[in-house]
Amino acid sequence: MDTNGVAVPPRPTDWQPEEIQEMTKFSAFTSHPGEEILELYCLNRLEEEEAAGIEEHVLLCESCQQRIADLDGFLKAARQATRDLRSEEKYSEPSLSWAWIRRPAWAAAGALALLTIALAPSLRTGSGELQTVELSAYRGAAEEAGGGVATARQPLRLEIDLSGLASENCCTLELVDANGKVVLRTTAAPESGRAAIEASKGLAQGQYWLRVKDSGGQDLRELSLSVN
Amino acid sequence: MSALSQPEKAEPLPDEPAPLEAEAKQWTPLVERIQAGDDAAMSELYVLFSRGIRFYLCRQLQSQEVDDKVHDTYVAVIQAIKRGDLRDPERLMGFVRTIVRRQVAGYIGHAIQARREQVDVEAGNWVSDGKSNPEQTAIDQQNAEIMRSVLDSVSKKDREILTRFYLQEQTQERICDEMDLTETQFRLLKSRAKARFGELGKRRVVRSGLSALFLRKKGPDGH
Repeated sequence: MDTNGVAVPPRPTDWQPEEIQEMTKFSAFTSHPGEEILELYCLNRLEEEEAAGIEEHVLLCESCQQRIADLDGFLKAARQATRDLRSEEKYSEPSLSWAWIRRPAWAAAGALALLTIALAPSLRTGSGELQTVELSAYRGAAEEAGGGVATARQPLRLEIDLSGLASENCCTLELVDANGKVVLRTTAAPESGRAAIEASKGLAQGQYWLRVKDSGGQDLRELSLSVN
Repeated sequence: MSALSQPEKAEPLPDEPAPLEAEAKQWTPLVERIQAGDDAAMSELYVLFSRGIRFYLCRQLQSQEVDDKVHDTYVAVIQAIKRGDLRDPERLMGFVRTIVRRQVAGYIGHAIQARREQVDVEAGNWVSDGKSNPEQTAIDQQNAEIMRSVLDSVSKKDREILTRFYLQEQTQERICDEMDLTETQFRLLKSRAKARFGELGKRRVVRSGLSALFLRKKGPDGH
Protein backbone atom coordinates (compact mmCIF):
# COMPACT_ATOMS: atom_id res chain seq x y z
CA MET A 1 0.00 0.00 0.00
CA ASP A 2 0.96 3.64 -0.40
CA THR A 3 2.14 5.05 2.91
CA ASN A 4 2.84 8.50 1.44
CA GLY A 5 6.35 8.32 2.75
CA VAL A 6 5.28 8.43 6.38
CA ALA A 7 7.50 6.35 8.58
CA VAL A 8 5.75 3.36 10.04
CA PRO A 9 6.13 3.09 13.82
CA PRO A 10 8.32 0.19 14.85
CA ARG A 11 6.43 -2.84 15.94
CA PRO A 12 6.81 -3.34 19.67
CA THR A 13 8.95 -6.35 20.41
CA ASP A 14 6.47 -7.67 22.95
CA TRP A 15 3.55 -7.47 20.57
CA GLN A 16 2.52 -11.05 19.99
CA PRO A 17 -0.36 -11.92 17.66
CA GLU A 18 -1.67 -14.41 20.21
CA GLU A 19 -1.93 -11.64 22.73
CA ILE A 20 -3.86 -9.48 20.32
CA GLN A 21 -6.29 -12.30 19.66
CA GLU A 22 -6.80 -12.65 23.40
CA MET A 23 -7.29 -8.94 23.95
CA THR A 24 -9.78 -8.59 21.13
CA LYS A 25 -12.10 -11.36 22.11
CA PHE A 26 -14.63 -8.99 23.70
CA SER A 27 -17.55 -7.80 21.70
CA ALA A 28 -18.53 -4.17 21.25
CA PHE A 29 -21.75 -2.60 22.49
CA THR A 30 -24.57 -3.14 20.07
CA SER A 31 -26.35 -0.08 21.49
CA HIS A 32 -25.15 3.14 23.10
CA PRO A 33 -23.67 2.57 26.55
CA GLY A 34 -25.70 4.10 29.38
CA GLU A 35 -24.72 7.30 31.15
CA GLU A 36 -23.54 5.54 34.30
CA ILE A 37 -21.21 3.10 32.59
CA LEU A 38 -19.88 5.82 30.32
CA GLU A 39 -19.11 7.95 33.34
CA LEU A 40 -17.32 5.05 35.01
CA TYR A 41 -15.34 4.59 31.81
CA CYS A 42 -14.31 8.25 31.86
CA LEU A 43 -13.32 7.83 35.51
CA ASN A 44 -11.20 4.77 34.62
CA ARG A 45 -13.20 2.64 37.00
CA LEU A 46 -14.22 -0.13 34.61
CA GLU A 47 -12.72 -3.55 34.26
CA GLU A 48 -10.67 -4.10 31.13
CA GLU A 49 -13.40 -6.16 29.49
CA GLU A 50 -16.05 -3.48 29.99
CA ALA A 51 -13.71 -0.69 28.87
CA ALA A 52 -12.81 -2.67 25.75
CA GLY A 53 -16.47 -2.96 24.78
CA ILE A 54 -16.99 0.77 25.14
CA GLU A 55 -13.85 1.67 23.25
CA GLU A 56 -14.78 -0.56 20.35
CA HIS A 57 -18.19 1.04 20.21
CA VAL A 58 -16.74 4.54 20.43
CA LEU A 59 -14.35 3.84 17.56
CA LEU A 60 -17.35 3.99 15.25
CA CYS A 61 -19.93 6.01 17.21
CA GLU A 62 -19.64 9.77 16.84
CA SER A 63 -22.43 10.60 19.26
CA CYS A 64 -20.72 8.63 22.02
CA GLN A 65 -17.44 10.36 21.21
CA GLN A 66 -19.23 13.63 21.89
CA ARG A 67 -20.80 12.25 25.06
CA ILE A 68 -17.38 11.22 26.35
CA ALA A 69 -15.92 14.63 25.49
CA ASP A 70 -18.75 16.31 27.40
CA LEU A 71 -18.35 13.97 30.35
CA ASP A 72 -14.59 14.55 30.44
CA GLY A 73 -15.24 18.28 30.64
CA PHE A 74 -17.76 17.84 33.42
CA LEU A 75 -15.52 15.51 35.42
CA LYS A 76 -12.55 17.83 35.14
CA ALA A 77 -14.66 20.74 36.34
CA ALA A 78 -16.18 18.65 39.14
CA ARG A 79 -12.76 17.60 40.42
CA GLN A 80 -11.43 21.15 40.31
CA ALA A 81 -14.49 22.71 41.94
CA THR A 82 -14.74 20.12 44.72
CA ARG A 83 -11.01 20.44 45.36
CA ASP A 84 -11.30 24.23 45.61
CA LEU A 85 -14.27 23.88 47.89
CA ARG A 86 -12.46 21.55 50.26
CA SER A 87 -9.36 23.70 50.45
CA GLU A 88 -11.45 26.78 51.16
CA GLU A 89 -13.37 24.99 53.87
CA LYS A 90 -10.10 24.01 55.47
CA TYR A 91 -8.67 27.50 55.22
CA SER A 92 -11.57 29.48 56.55
CA GLU A 93 -15.30 29.42 57.03
CA PRO A 94 -16.73 32.36 55.10
CA SER A 95 -20.08 33.30 56.55
CA LEU A 96 -22.88 35.35 55.17
CA SER A 97 -25.39 36.92 57.45
CA TRP A 98 -28.60 38.58 56.42
CA ALA A 99 -30.54 38.42 59.64
CA TRP A 100 -28.94 41.55 61.08
CA ILE A 101 -30.32 43.74 58.34
CA ARG A 102 -33.88 42.56 59.00
CA ARG A 103 -33.78 43.48 62.68
CA PRO A 104 -34.12 47.20 63.35
CA ALA A 105 -31.73 47.27 66.31
CA TRP A 106 -29.04 45.43 64.49
CA ALA A 107 -29.66 47.43 61.34
CA ALA A 108 -29.18 50.62 63.33
CA ALA A 109 -26.02 49.24 64.89
CA GLY A 110 -24.76 48.22 61.50
CA ALA A 111 -25.48 51.62 60.07
CA LEU A 112 -23.66 53.23 63.00
CA ALA A 113 -20.70 50.98 62.44
CA LEU A 114 -20.63 51.87 58.78
CA LEU A 115 -20.87 55.54 59.59
CA THR A 116 -18.03 55.24 62.05
CA ILE A 117 -15.86 53.55 59.50
CA ALA A 118 -16.79 56.00 56.80
CA LEU A 119 -16.03 59.05 58.96
CA ALA A 120 -13.01 57.81 60.83
CA PRO A 121 -11.08 55.12 59.03
CA SER A 122 -8.18 55.66 61.39
CA LEU A 123 -10.31 54.35 64.24
CA ARG A 124 -10.18 50.82 62.96
CA THR A 125 -10.15 48.24 65.66
CA GLY A 126 -6.96 46.81 67.02
CA SER A 127 -5.43 43.51 66.10
CA GLY A 128 -7.72 40.54 66.76
CA GLU A 129 -10.93 42.53 66.71
CA LEU A 130 -13.38 42.43 63.86
CA GLN A 131 -13.03 45.27 61.39
CA THR A 132 -15.90 46.11 59.09
CA VAL A 133 -15.35 47.66 55.70
CA GLU A 134 -18.01 48.71 53.25
CA LEU A 135 -17.08 48.29 49.64
CA SER A 136 -18.50 50.76 47.19
CA ALA A 137 -15.66 51.74 44.85
CA TYR A 138 -16.12 50.03 41.53
CA ARG A 139 -13.23 49.03 39.38
CA GLY A 140 -12.59 51.73 36.83
CA ALA A 141 -13.11 55.45 37.25
CA ALA A 142 -14.56 55.27 40.74
CA GLU A 143 -11.63 53.22 41.91
CA GLU A 144 -9.43 56.27 41.91
CA ALA A 145 -11.71 57.90 44.44
CA GLY A 146 -10.54 55.27 46.92
CA GLY A 147 -11.70 51.71 47.50
CA GLY A 148 -12.17 49.94 50.77
CA VAL A 149 -9.16 49.78 53.06
CA ALA A 150 -8.52 47.14 55.71
CA THR A 151 -5.78 46.10 58.08
CA ALA A 152 -3.86 42.95 57.31
CA ARG A 153 -4.14 39.82 59.46
CA GLN A 154 -7.14 41.10 61.35
CA PRO A 155 -10.61 39.56 61.27
CA LEU A 156 -12.52 41.30 58.53
CA ARG A 157 -16.11 41.78 57.56
CA LEU A 158 -16.85 43.18 54.13
CA GLU A 159 -20.23 44.67 53.41
CA ILE A 160 -21.52 45.12 49.90
CA ASP A 161 -24.40 46.99 48.36
CA LEU A 162 -26.36 44.72 46.04
CA SER A 163 -29.19 47.08 45.25
CA GLY A 164 -30.26 47.08 41.63
CA LEU A 165 -29.38 43.46 40.99
CA ALA A 166 -32.05 41.10 39.71
CA SER A 167 -32.90 38.46 42.26
CA GLU A 168 -33.24 35.55 39.88
CA ASN A 169 -29.57 35.47 38.97
CA CYS A 170 -27.94 36.60 42.16
CA CYS A 171 -25.26 36.01 43.44
CA THR A 172 -21.94 34.53 44.23
CA LEU A 173 -19.43 36.72 46.03
CA GLU A 174 -15.79 36.06 45.32
CA LEU A 175 -12.85 37.81 46.91
CA VAL A 176 -9.80 37.44 44.70
CA ASP A 177 -6.26 38.61 45.25
CA ALA A 178 -4.16 40.61 42.80
CA ASN A 179 -3.33 37.44 40.89
CA GLY A 180 -6.97 36.54 40.46
CA LYS A 181 -6.81 33.69 42.97
CA VAL A 182 -10.05 33.18 44.85
CA VAL A 183 -9.51 33.75 48.57
CA LEU A 184 -13.10 33.62 49.78
CA ARG A 185 -16.32 32.65 48.13
CA THR A 186 -19.90 32.54 49.27
CA THR A 187 -23.40 32.95 47.94
CA ALA A 188 -25.88 35.74 48.59
CA ALA A 189 -29.46 36.74 47.90
CA PRO A 190 -30.12 40.36 47.00
CA GLU A 191 -33.56 40.79 48.54
CA SER A 192 -32.44 43.15 51.27
CA GLY A 193 -30.01 44.96 49.05
CA ARG A 194 -26.91 44.15 51.05
CA ALA A 195 -24.57 41.24 51.75
CA ALA A 196 -21.59 40.61 53.96
CA ILE A 197 -18.68 38.24 53.82
CA GLU A 198 -16.22 37.56 56.62
CA ALA A 199 -12.61 36.48 56.70
CA SER A 200 -12.24 35.24 60.25
CA LYS A 201 -8.45 35.19 60.10
CA GLY A 202 -8.14 38.37 58.12
CA LEU A 203 -6.23 38.81 54.89
CA ALA A 204 -2.61 39.16 53.92
CA GLN A 205 -1.39 42.55 52.75
CA GLY A 206 -2.19 43.38 49.14
CA GLN A 207 -4.81 44.42 46.63
CA TYR A 208 -8.04 42.45 46.45
CA TRP A 209 -11.18 42.53 44.37
CA LEU A 210 -14.61 41.48 45.44
CA ARG A 211 -16.57 40.13 42.51
CA VAL A 212 -20.32 39.80 42.49
CA LYS A 213 -21.27 37.11 40.00
CA ASP A 214 -24.59 35.86 38.77
CA SER A 215 -25.64 32.23 38.85
CA GLY A 216 -24.01 31.70 35.49
CA GLY A 217 -20.67 32.95 36.77
CA GLN A 218 -20.87 36.24 34.92
CA ASP A 219 -19.37 39.26 36.69
CA LEU A 220 -21.99 41.76 37.79
CA ARG A 221 -19.85 44.04 39.92
CA GLU A 222 -16.26 44.28 40.98
CA LEU A 223 -15.19 46.24 44.02
CA SER A 224 -11.77 47.28 45.21
CA LEU A 225 -10.18 46.45 48.57
CA SER A 226 -6.69 47.38 49.75
CA VAL A 227 -5.23 45.54 52.73
CA ASN A 228 -2.31 47.28 54.41
CA MET B 1 -33.34 22.11 49.50
CA SER B 2 -31.53 18.92 48.90
CA ALA B 3 -31.53 17.74 45.34
CA LEU B 4 -32.36 14.33 46.68
CA SER B 5 -35.78 15.32 47.86
CA GLN B 6 -37.42 15.59 44.46
CA PRO B 7 -36.81 12.63 42.19
CA GLU B 8 -36.57 13.40 38.52
CA LYS B 9 -36.56 11.25 35.50
CA ALA B 10 -33.14 9.98 34.56
CA GLU B 11 -31.48 11.64 31.61
CA PRO B 12 -32.50 9.88 28.41
CA LEU B 13 -29.96 8.29 26.17
CA PRO B 14 -29.28 9.84 22.77
CA ASP B 15 -32.15 9.39 20.34
CA GLU B 16 -30.06 8.42 17.41
CA PRO B 17 -29.45 4.74 16.94
CA ALA B 18 -26.17 3.10 17.78
CA PRO B 19 -24.00 2.20 14.82
CA LEU B 20 -25.70 -1.14 14.47
CA GLU B 21 -24.99 -1.17 10.80
CA ALA B 22 -21.31 -1.23 11.70
CA GLU B 23 -21.84 -3.92 14.30
CA ALA B 24 -23.80 -5.98 11.84
CA LYS B 25 -21.27 -5.30 9.13
CA GLN B 26 -19.50 -8.31 7.85
CA TRP B 27 -15.85 -7.51 8.33
CA THR B 28 -14.48 -10.62 6.66
CA PRO B 29 -14.90 -9.41 3.04
CA LEU B 30 -13.28 -6.08 3.87
CA VAL B 31 -10.37 -7.76 5.64
CA GLU B 32 -9.88 -10.18 2.74
CA ARG B 33 -9.85 -7.32 0.24
CA ILE B 34 -7.24 -5.49 2.30
CA GLN B 35 -5.14 -8.61 2.46
CA ALA B 36 -5.44 -8.83 -1.33
CA GLY B 37 -4.10 -5.27 -1.64
CA ASP B 38 -7.35 -3.60 -2.69
CA ASP B 39 -6.83 0.18 -2.39
CA ALA B 40 -10.56 0.87 -2.19
CA ALA B 41 -10.86 -1.45 0.80
CA MET B 42 -8.03 0.37 2.55
CA SER B 43 -9.76 3.69 1.91
CA GLU B 44 -12.98 2.25 3.28
CA LEU B 45 -11.20 1.19 6.45
CA TYR B 46 -9.71 4.66 6.80
CA VAL B 47 -13.10 6.35 6.43
CA LEU B 48 -14.64 4.00 8.98
CA PHE B 49 -12.03 4.25 11.70
CA SER B 50 -9.98 7.44 11.26
CA ARG B 51 -12.36 9.62 13.24
CA GLY B 52 -12.55 7.16 16.11
CA ILE B 53 -8.80 6.69 16.10
CA ARG B 54 -8.33 10.45 16.16
CA PHE B 55 -10.73 10.80 19.06
CA TYR B 56 -8.95 8.09 21.05
CA LEU B 57 -5.50 9.55 20.38
CA CYS B 58 -6.59 13.10 21.25
CA ARG B 59 -8.11 11.92 24.49
CA GLN B 60 -5.25 9.71 25.57
CA LEU B 61 -2.40 11.98 24.49
CA GLN B 62 -4.12 15.23 25.56
CA SER B 63 -3.27 16.82 22.25
CA GLN B 64 -5.16 17.96 19.17
CA GLU B 65 -2.12 17.60 16.93
CA VAL B 66 -2.39 13.95 16.09
CA ASP B 67 -2.69 13.91 12.30
CA ASP B 68 0.59 12.06 11.83
CA LYS B 69 -0.25 9.63 14.60
CA VAL B 70 -3.65 8.85 13.07
CA HIS B 71 -1.89 8.07 9.82
CA ASP B 72 0.77 5.97 11.54
CA THR B 73 -1.89 4.01 13.39
CA TYR B 74 -3.82 3.44 10.19
CA VAL B 75 -0.68 2.17 8.49
CA ALA B 76 0.04 -0.12 11.42
CA VAL B 77 -3.47 -1.57 11.22
CA ILE B 78 -3.20 -2.18 7.48
CA GLN B 79 0.20 -3.81 7.82
CA ALA B 80 -0.96 -6.02 10.67
CA ILE B 81 -3.97 -7.16 8.63
CA LYS B 82 -1.76 -7.89 5.66
CA ARG B 83 0.61 -9.89 7.83
CA GLY B 84 -2.32 -12.00 8.92
CA ASP B 85 -2.18 -10.96 12.57
CA LEU B 86 -5.98 -10.68 12.59
CA ARG B 87 -7.08 -14.28 12.76
CA ASP B 88 -10.80 -13.64 13.17
CA PRO B 89 -11.79 -10.88 10.72
CA GLU B 90 -15.10 -10.36 12.51
CA ARG B 91 -13.11 -9.06 15.45
CA LEU B 92 -11.75 -6.18 13.38
CA MET B 93 -13.02 -3.48 15.75
CA GLY B 94 -11.30 -5.04 18.73
CA PHE B 95 -8.19 -5.51 16.66
CA VAL B 96 -8.10 -1.84 15.67
CA ARG B 97 -8.69 -0.81 19.26
CA THR B 98 -5.82 -2.96 20.49
CA ILE B 99 -3.43 -1.51 17.93
CA VAL B 100 -4.46 2.03 18.82
CA ARG B 101 -3.82 1.28 22.48
CA ARG B 102 -0.41 -0.11 21.61
CA GLN B 103 0.39 2.97 19.60
CA VAL B 104 -0.63 5.24 22.46
CA ALA B 105 1.51 3.26 24.90
CA GLY B 106 4.41 3.56 22.48
CA TYR B 107 4.03 7.32 22.07
CA ILE B 108 3.81 7.86 25.80
CA GLY B 109 6.87 5.68 26.36
CA HIS B 110 8.84 7.61 23.75
CA ALA B 111 7.77 10.93 25.24
CA ILE B 112 8.87 9.87 28.71
CA GLN B 113 12.20 8.65 27.41
CA ALA B 114 12.76 11.80 25.37
CA ARG B 115 11.98 13.96 28.37
CA ARG B 116 14.41 12.02 30.53
CA GLU B 117 17.17 12.34 27.97
CA GLN B 118 16.52 16.03 27.53
CA VAL B 119 16.79 16.59 31.26
CA ASP B 120 19.94 14.46 31.55
CA VAL B 121 21.80 16.06 28.67
CA GLU B 122 20.67 19.63 28.99
CA ALA B 123 19.63 20.10 32.57
CA GLY B 124 17.72 23.32 33.01
CA ASN B 125 16.33 23.43 29.51
CA TRP B 126 12.62 23.78 29.03
CA VAL B 127 10.67 20.58 29.23
CA SER B 128 6.95 20.45 28.63
CA ASP B 129 5.06 20.51 31.89
CA GLY B 130 2.05 18.83 30.35
CA LYS B 131 -0.23 21.74 31.13
CA SER B 132 -3.03 22.74 28.80
CA ASN B 133 -2.67 25.61 26.39
CA PRO B 134 -3.94 29.03 27.53
CA GLU B 135 -7.21 28.63 25.65
CA GLN B 136 -7.93 25.27 27.21
CA THR B 137 -6.86 26.59 30.62
CA ALA B 138 -9.38 29.42 30.27
CA ILE B 139 -12.12 26.98 29.30
CA ASP B 140 -11.23 24.70 32.21
CA GLN B 141 -11.31 27.65 34.60
CA GLN B 142 -14.71 28.74 33.34
CA ASN B 143 -16.05 25.21 33.61
CA ALA B 144 -14.74 24.95 37.17
CA GLU B 145 -16.50 28.21 38.04
CA ILE B 146 -19.73 26.93 36.56
CA MET B 147 -19.35 23.73 38.54
CA ARG B 148 -18.71 25.79 41.62
CA SER B 149 -22.01 27.57 41.05
CA VAL B 150 -23.66 24.18 40.80
CA LEU B 151 -22.08 23.09 44.08
CA ASP B 152 -23.11 26.32 45.75
CA SER B 153 -26.71 25.73 44.72
CA VAL B 154 -27.04 22.31 46.36
CA SER B 155 -27.18 21.29 50.01
CA LYS B 156 -24.12 20.55 52.10
CA LYS B 157 -24.97 16.87 52.06
CA ASP B 158 -25.23 16.81 48.29
CA ARG B 159 -21.90 18.60 48.01
CA GLU B 160 -20.33 15.98 50.19
CA ILE B 161 -21.74 13.21 48.02
CA LEU B 162 -20.38 14.79 44.86
CA THR B 163 -17.02 15.45 46.52
CA ARG B 164 -16.74 11.86 47.69
CA PHE B 165 -17.49 10.50 44.25
CA TYR B 166 -15.62 12.89 41.97
CA LEU B 167 -12.71 14.01 44.12
CA GLN B 168 -12.12 11.26 46.65
CA GLU B 169 -13.03 8.59 44.11
CA GLN B 170 -15.15 6.64 46.54
CA THR B 171 -17.41 4.01 45.04
CA GLN B 172 -21.12 4.46 44.67
CA GLU B 173 -21.71 1.50 46.99
CA ARG B 174 -19.63 2.98 49.78
CA ILE B 175 -21.18 6.44 49.48
CA CYS B 176 -24.71 5.07 49.45
CA ASP B 177 -23.95 2.87 52.41
CA GLU B 178 -22.30 5.53 54.55
CA MET B 179 -24.70 8.31 53.66
CA ASP B 180 -27.87 6.28 53.72
CA LEU B 181 -28.79 6.77 50.07
CA THR B 182 -30.51 4.60 47.56
CA GLU B 183 -28.86 3.95 44.23
CA THR B 184 -31.59 5.96 42.53
CA GLN B 185 -31.08 8.97 44.78
CA PHE B 186 -27.36 8.85 44.12
CA ARG B 187 -27.84 8.73 40.36
CA LEU B 188 -30.42 11.48 40.39
CA LEU B 189 -28.11 13.79 42.26
CA LYS B 190 -25.34 13.25 39.73
CA SER B 191 -27.76 13.55 36.85
CA ARG B 192 -29.07 16.86 38.16
CA ALA B 193 -25.61 18.22 38.75
CA LYS B 194 -24.68 17.41 35.16
CA ALA B 195 -27.88 18.89 33.80
CA ARG B 196 -27.37 22.08 35.82
CA PHE B 197 -23.75 22.25 34.68
CA GLY B 198 -24.81 21.96 31.05
CA GLU B 199 -27.57 24.51 31.48
CA LEU B 200 -25.33 27.11 33.13
CA GLY B 201 -22.62 26.46 30.58
CA LYS B 202 -24.97 27.14 27.69
CA ARG B 203 -26.35 30.25 29.34
CA ARG B 204 -22.86 31.52 29.92
CA VAL B 205 -21.81 30.97 26.34
CA VAL B 206 -24.77 32.98 25.12
CA ARG B 207 -24.14 35.80 27.57
CA SER B 208 -20.43 36.22 27.31
CA GLY B 209 -20.13 35.59 23.60
CA LEU B 210 -17.58 32.86 24.06
CA SER B 211 -19.16 30.74 21.38
CA ALA B 212 -15.97 30.80 19.40
CA LEU B 213 -14.01 29.17 22.20
CA PHE B 214 -16.55 26.42 22.63
CA LEU B 215 -16.85 25.89 18.92
CA ARG B 216 -13.14 25.40 18.79
CA LYS B 217 -13.33 23.04 21.73
CA LYS B 218 -15.99 20.99 20.02
CA GLY B 219 -14.91 21.31 16.46
CA PRO B 220 -16.11 19.41 13.44
CA ASP B 221 -14.28 16.33 14.57
CA GLY B 222 -16.26 16.25 17.78
CA HIS B 223 -13.56 17.10 20.31
